[in-house]
Amino acid sequence: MSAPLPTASDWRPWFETYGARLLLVARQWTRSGSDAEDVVQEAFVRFWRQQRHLGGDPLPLMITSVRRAALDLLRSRDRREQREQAHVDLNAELWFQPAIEENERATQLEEAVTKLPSEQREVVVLKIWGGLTFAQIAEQLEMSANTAASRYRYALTALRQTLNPVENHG
Amino acid sequence: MDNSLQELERELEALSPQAPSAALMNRLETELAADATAATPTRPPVTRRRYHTATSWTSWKWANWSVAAGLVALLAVATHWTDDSPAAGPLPETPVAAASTDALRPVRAARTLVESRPEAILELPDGSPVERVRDYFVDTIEWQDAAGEAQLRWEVPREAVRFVALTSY
Repeated sequence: MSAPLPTASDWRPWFETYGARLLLVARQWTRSGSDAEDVVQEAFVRFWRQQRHLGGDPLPLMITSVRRAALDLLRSRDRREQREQAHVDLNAELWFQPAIEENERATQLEEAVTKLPSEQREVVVLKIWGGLTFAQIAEQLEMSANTAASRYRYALTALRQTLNPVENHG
Repeated sequence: MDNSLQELERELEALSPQAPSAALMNRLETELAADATAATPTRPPVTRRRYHTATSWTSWKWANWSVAAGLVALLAVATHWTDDSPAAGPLPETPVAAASTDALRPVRAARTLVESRPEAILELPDGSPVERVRDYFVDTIEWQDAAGEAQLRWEVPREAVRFVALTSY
């Protein structure tokens, strides 16, 4: 017997599970946190209304919707405005929950992630927090799975080098 | 992948992305609450239909049909009397109904789609999502006599509801 369909009031637990991850994913393709929230809202409402009954893992579906909504939003904006804002907003907001205890290593790691080149960072975010496979990432970003895996590996290597510069030079 | 990279992966996984703001939760609450109130009878209840069309026996629009039929009969009889009155002879053997079909014949029937209005997303009993779309038409029928001197045009609005399957993309 299949699981009962979620009712309209069930969206909160679903969103509490996926919302933070979706926001971080959306943040890779938007200029600000508020744009990311707009994009996630649009994608989640679309998913909830039209796709939640389709079964399977909902996260890849929602990430596809997030990416589509983010690209639509970017296209709707003036290109010059995008160039000016994209650099400014990158590090202006918190991407991660502050650690409950002081954790210098975690803080360094968060900062290092935000400073990765965007083409590496989006692969890391989709893999670690989006939970996608390299094949799914490749489909999302329209590249080969090998390219996705390479970018992921470059990104981790760069993070390691940033966090442990002495070890990596030794 | 070497051990240090795997360790780094685990550290990354331990980072928690920033939670959605209360404002976003409120916006979702508002938007999805509207869905909950509009929720989803799988079949439109007949007793709550907003619109009645000529396909319903209780519709007032059947009056239009009656008026049209009456006009056709009147025109037919009038034409018949005009033709036969000078002779003042016996009525022809052709029945009135047959005469009326000779007098006015349908020459055109058309259906024009005026508007299609998406109304709601619904769930079918098997769980598949569909969109309910209401189409608004105008049906037009024209009758004309053989000589082209008399014409009757009848227009009536009509509605149809269809369900469009929604697929993922």
